[in-house]
Amino acid sequence: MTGKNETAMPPPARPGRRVRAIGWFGLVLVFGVVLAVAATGTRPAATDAERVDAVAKTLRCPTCQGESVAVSEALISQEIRADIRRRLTAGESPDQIRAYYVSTYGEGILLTPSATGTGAAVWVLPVVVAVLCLAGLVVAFRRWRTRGALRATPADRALVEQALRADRPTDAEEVR
Amino acid sequence: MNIALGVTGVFLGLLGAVSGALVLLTGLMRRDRSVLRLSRSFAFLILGGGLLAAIAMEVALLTDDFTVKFVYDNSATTTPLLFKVATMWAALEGSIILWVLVLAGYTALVATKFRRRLTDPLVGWAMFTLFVVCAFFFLLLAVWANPFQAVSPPPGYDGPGPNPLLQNHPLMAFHPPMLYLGYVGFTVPFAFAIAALVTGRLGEGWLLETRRWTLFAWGFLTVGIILGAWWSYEVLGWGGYWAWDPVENASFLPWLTGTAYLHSVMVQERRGMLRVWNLSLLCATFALTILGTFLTRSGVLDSVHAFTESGIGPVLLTFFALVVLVTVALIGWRGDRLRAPGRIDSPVSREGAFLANNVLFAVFAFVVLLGTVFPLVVEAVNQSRLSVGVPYFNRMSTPIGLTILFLMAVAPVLPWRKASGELLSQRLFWPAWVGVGAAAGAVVLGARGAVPVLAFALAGFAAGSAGRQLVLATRRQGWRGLVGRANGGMIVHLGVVVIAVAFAASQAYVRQSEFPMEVGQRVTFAGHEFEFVGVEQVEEANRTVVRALVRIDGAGPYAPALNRFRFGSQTIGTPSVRMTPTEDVMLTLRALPESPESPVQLRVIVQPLIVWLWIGGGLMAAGTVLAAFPGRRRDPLSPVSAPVPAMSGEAPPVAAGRSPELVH
Repeated sequence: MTGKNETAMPPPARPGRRVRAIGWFGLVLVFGVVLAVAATGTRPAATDAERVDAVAKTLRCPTCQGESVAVSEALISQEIRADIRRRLTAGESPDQIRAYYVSTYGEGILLTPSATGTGAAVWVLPVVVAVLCLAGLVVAFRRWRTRGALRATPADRALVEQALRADRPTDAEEVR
Repeated sequence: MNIALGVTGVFLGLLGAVSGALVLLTGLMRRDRSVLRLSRSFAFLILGGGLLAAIAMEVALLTDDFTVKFVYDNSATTTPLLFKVATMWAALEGSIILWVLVLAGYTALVATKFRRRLTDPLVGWAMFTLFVVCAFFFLLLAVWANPFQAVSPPPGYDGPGPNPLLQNHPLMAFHPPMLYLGYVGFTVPFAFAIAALVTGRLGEGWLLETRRWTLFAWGFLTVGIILGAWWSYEVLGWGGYWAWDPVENASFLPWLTGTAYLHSVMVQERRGMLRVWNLSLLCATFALTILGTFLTRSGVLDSVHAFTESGIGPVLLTFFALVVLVTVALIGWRGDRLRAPGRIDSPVSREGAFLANNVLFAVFAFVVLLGTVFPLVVEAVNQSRLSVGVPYFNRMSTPIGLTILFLMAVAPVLPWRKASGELLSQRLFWPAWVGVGAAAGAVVLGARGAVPVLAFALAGFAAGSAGRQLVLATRRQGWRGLVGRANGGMIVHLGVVVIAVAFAASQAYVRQSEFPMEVGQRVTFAGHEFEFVGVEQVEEANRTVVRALVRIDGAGPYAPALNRFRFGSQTIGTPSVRMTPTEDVMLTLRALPESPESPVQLRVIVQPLIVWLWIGGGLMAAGTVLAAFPGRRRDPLSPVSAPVPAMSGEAPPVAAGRSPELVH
């Protein structure tokens, strides 16, 4: 068995290795340039509808069920959208507009819970869970490493051999 | 008549399930084989009950039998035929009929598939579990969500029809059945998991037996979710297809844990490890379908989908608690048998990648669950109202999604046991260039913004990896290289990549505007010219439709419409979409024009690559089917991975030459 595996495994070609190293270097370079261009480029100026939508998406429709102001067709949402448009043209910033709506309707109108108070849990808990999961993995791998591989004793090997011989038809059987 | 038939069906099903469970239990206790063989008859009795109930309801709907409360409340004589059929799942009670029908169907299928092994205690306990779940849902139908209540309608009564939103698009006829086939399908592997725990036969046998059931349930759930996204895109008219609505989340949660399971189960099949984890994932998937049903059908959460309040909330919650308790207790009880002797040698290996996959999907599921129930918890604890919405989910899922894409790129090339840097450098070289090429191409085409371009790069990388595997496999095996779990799985991966690209592009590069238009006026926006031709009004049986005729770049006319249904004061829009491979232009009529000549308010949403969301969904479905066929089997007696050195104490050599494609 072992022999079969080794013949199926040709040693990697050495010259290809250096070419590949250069290739990887080029890849990192090209990717850096692409990302830099992507990050610095400008996007087309937002239309009024888009600026209104950006704010409306972060506000919950006060009367309807689980929809944002941007999506809802309820009368109140239409009024809020018109109001957002008015305030944006009057020069208020999105944060100011949100602050106004929080003062009118309370914290519950924001679809993004604030990072302070009770709402913080919704941001912190996933991070805690992720860190715990990763820590668990690290501990598991460390335990696996210190425990060491289970080594087959000669007795085990004999058992396996015996089982293989029993399962696999012998040459003689195949001829028959 | 219909009431009598329906009630008979429900009670037949309930009787079959309860007596089946009891009989089977005695059979299992006494190890009586002749009793165990009866389970097939009970399964068909249950199926008969479910069919009878469903047929009675459909007949009542199609014949406008308003003496049935459900029809009285939810249907109308003027509802078109297709939507009359679909009305069954357009409200709570009817949707439970669909649930029991699908569940009974699966139960009968299991009984048929395993008909020669019904006396095997493993199959016996699985059938028992299925019967118990059936009994619960029939009981729900009989007591708390009875659709067959009698009413006496006044003469000439006509019902209100289903919710206007639900009779506005033919996809409504297909999305819920698909979703339910997926949702309910997870009951089968759950039943076998419970059976394995009870019988103590916790080897890999039950896993292999339920592999295809899980895969098909997952495939149906995937298709159901995509069809739901398509429906909301075509109907709701704000250009969105995914709103992190509680019901969407409820279907997404089991999808996440199911996906995690489909991956980690391979570690168990190959290495015999992660038994507790896999059992927990499977049971969590089933429990989450129940929890999702509770969240969305009990009225505790507000959502577009939530049907009106009803008494089934506490019952579903109790059942959920029961499922969790039973599985936790069983896993605890069998803890000693679940410990696996193996170890995972290196994090940079196939097993390691599956573990990383599981961490990611578990965290993702946690985020979605937390965001969904958090407002509830806060309100229950300190009476304050707090909302968690789209911006939160988008922000949290972006890094998780990008990491998943990265993992999809690296994992398929990793061998079992351990990988070397040299091997990774060799196998990942071309996929990585595909990724960089994709990003560069996107930038050349005008894509800007670091996050979407990074998403394109990682998507290209993942596609390169999946493509590499498929190319190698087809080169070796011809068309059979597309079949089997590993290869079909790569096609599913390609579908996910296509969806990820479409998602990132349509989210990042959406353009929208809203403007009034007079008849004959032309407006240019986002590179397109819109011309308003005029308004037409059509009276249909169940609604009045007002259409605005608009040409896009001279083609068309496209006709975004507003519908006023005979019942209900709301006007419901029907957007009109021009679909092309590169971008969708969606037109929405915002308000009814006062007269045919007055200007209309038109909303235009231009989103790139939307159509690829649906194509990607199709790819995922096709890949699932291909993965279900047996691929070329590796020799079951050949060693699983690296040969173990006979003498030295060193780590085993890496199986560099033995590509993972071969051993699958």
